[in-house]
Amino acid sequence: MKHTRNLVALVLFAVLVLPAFSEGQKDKPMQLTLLYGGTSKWPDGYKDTEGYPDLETKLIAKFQNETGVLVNRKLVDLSTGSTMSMDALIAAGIPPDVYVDFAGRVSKYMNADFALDLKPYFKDLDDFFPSVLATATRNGKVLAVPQPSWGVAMVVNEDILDAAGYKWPAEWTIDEYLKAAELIKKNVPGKFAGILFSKNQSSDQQWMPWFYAFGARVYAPGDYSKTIINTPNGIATLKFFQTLVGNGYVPPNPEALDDDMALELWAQGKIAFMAMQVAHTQALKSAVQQGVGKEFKFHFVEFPHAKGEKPTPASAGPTLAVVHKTSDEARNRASARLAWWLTGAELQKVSAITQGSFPSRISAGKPLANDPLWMQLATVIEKNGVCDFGITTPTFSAVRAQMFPLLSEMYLGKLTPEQVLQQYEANVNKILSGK
Amino acid sequence: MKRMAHLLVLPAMGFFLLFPAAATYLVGHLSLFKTDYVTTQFVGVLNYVTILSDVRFWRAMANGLIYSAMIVPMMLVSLVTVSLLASDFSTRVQNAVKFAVYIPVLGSGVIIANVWKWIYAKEGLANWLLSLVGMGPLPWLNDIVLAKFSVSLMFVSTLMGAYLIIMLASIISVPKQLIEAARIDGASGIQVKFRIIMPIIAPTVALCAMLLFISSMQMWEFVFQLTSGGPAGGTATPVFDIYETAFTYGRYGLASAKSLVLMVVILLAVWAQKRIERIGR
Repeated sequence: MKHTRNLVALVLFAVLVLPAFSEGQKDKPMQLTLLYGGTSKWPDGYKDTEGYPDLETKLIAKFQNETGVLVNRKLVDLSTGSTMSMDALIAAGIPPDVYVDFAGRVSKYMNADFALDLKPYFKDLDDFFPSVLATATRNGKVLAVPQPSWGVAMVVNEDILDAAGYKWPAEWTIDEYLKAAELIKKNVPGKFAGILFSKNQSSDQQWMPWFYAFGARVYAPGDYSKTIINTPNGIATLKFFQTLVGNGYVPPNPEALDDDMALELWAQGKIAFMAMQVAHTQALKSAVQQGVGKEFKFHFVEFPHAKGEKPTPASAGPTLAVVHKTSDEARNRASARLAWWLTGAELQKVSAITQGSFPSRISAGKPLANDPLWMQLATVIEKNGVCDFGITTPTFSAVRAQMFPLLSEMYLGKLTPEQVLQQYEANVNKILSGK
Repeated sequence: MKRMAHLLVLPAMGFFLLFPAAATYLVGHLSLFKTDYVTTQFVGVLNYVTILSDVRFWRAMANGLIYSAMIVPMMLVSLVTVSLLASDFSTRVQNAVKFAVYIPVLGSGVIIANVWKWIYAKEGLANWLLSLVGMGPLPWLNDIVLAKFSVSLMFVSTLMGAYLIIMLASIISVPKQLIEAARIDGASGIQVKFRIIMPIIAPTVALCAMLLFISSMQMWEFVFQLTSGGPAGGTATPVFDIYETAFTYGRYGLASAKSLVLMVVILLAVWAQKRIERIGR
């Protein structure tokens, strides 16, 4: 009798109480997952009147108020430079609805099976610069939308050059670079002309422009079906790297250095020439605040070029927002709207100021037109153009990972420059062929 | 009674068998595909064929064997020494030793690795100690051979506590009558340790050796934090290579195939060790 009574009570509980929880589930608002690479801090001295800690948090809040859709923001793990964060979520069966990151990582997901065509959802696509939007368009479909574009050129530590007694030349060539390097080594002990690092794949912004400087190219213009880097000019570039390491013009053991370590050394005033974005120069401020560095004068220039070669272009590329295509049209609309908020004019302006980058929207104007560093970088881009590393090709993230281990082996004396490029060419062409 | 015992153990056994079995099945399934989680293509055994010519993977396997060759003797000698010495003292002292040696086991691998990075830095503790005896600074993490030793030393010092507990328990379980009888017969302390205790705890030592071999082959977090597999893959272990294949190069099918190959290699090694043990007995 007692058992029967308990059983009846249990059944009644299950029937009456548990459905109340499912009622709550039905009314739960839609929640989107946003995977985001980095945050735009407010410009120095700026205090947001609404008290938001950063721009993305503010824009997400505006989106949530407008649509009633919640956003769960996750940050990309940038430690290896790979697409690990995104792949892990996809493997777990929970791909993010919106993914915002460097174009080299996002481009892998820009295919019609994964990404939503944003043309029907964006009414102001003509506000984007056509050349930038073209990098996110495949077969007429807009598979991503751009945030501001970053630019990379060479930063010169003027204090080191002054201490070394080097005068800036009329033409900035490789020979002049080596001349400056020798003077720095002789007259400014403890400082280096440049830096090479190959511990992770984020080293490519350091070595890629040097290939252009020597007249070598990763791809023929517009042809991403094979690499053309394995040439005498490519080999000359790697021999130049060996010269830099062998003569002590760069910190030793480049195979043990990564991009974060390199930036630390620059911020401590130890590196005369280094490839950087405007945003990275803020590392100097942090170093001074932490007491590990002192202020020094610096400015942007182009990379030097080999004799007979044209002036070296800058590196540049957009940050892109890709939206995951689902069978739920309401979800697609909400995700596209979130992507709109995160690529709107407000973000483009603030991000351009805090990151020193270039807005992708015409309506965002040139917020840094009075900033000397930005203007220096913009001048390099306007005069010399931009290197083509295939950043927005679907295979970029796989191709990108091929060079740094080979460079490491070269620095350790296990491979010659010829062997490095032979192996790189074989690996890359295999990836590009789809095998 | 026996049936009841089996039934009672079944849920826990089922749990422990189901998840690894399911994971192994899923990994095996994935190993038949070429996938970067955006495009997926069935390739059959092609990934396994690729492994045969994958220099990095076999170099990592060789590194795993080298680590085992360094870690197993280092750990066993340290364990036997510390546990035999500690066994002479009271339970209180033994517990204090266990606690002190076990602390690194409880620590976060990331924090411990960063401490060891500082120890191995150019101006770190290790080079300072060398300078006291007039020796120059060594590239603890930048020389391929030395870097392997550095990682092995970190492994031994961090995980010794976990194995010490097993070893001490084994020593304590040696029948006291045997030790007393040996003492009565005139055996010295060292003779008791090496002629009585050591043979009795030999199976435990063998077990620790096997577990250490498996751990050496599967080591990942220490390598990731300390050297990132460098210089130039010189310190990469098989699991580190699998991690890179998956998350750096985006080749998840190939990484899955490598995982299964590693599992088979470890199983074969353990089987071989057990056979040798049986023959030895």
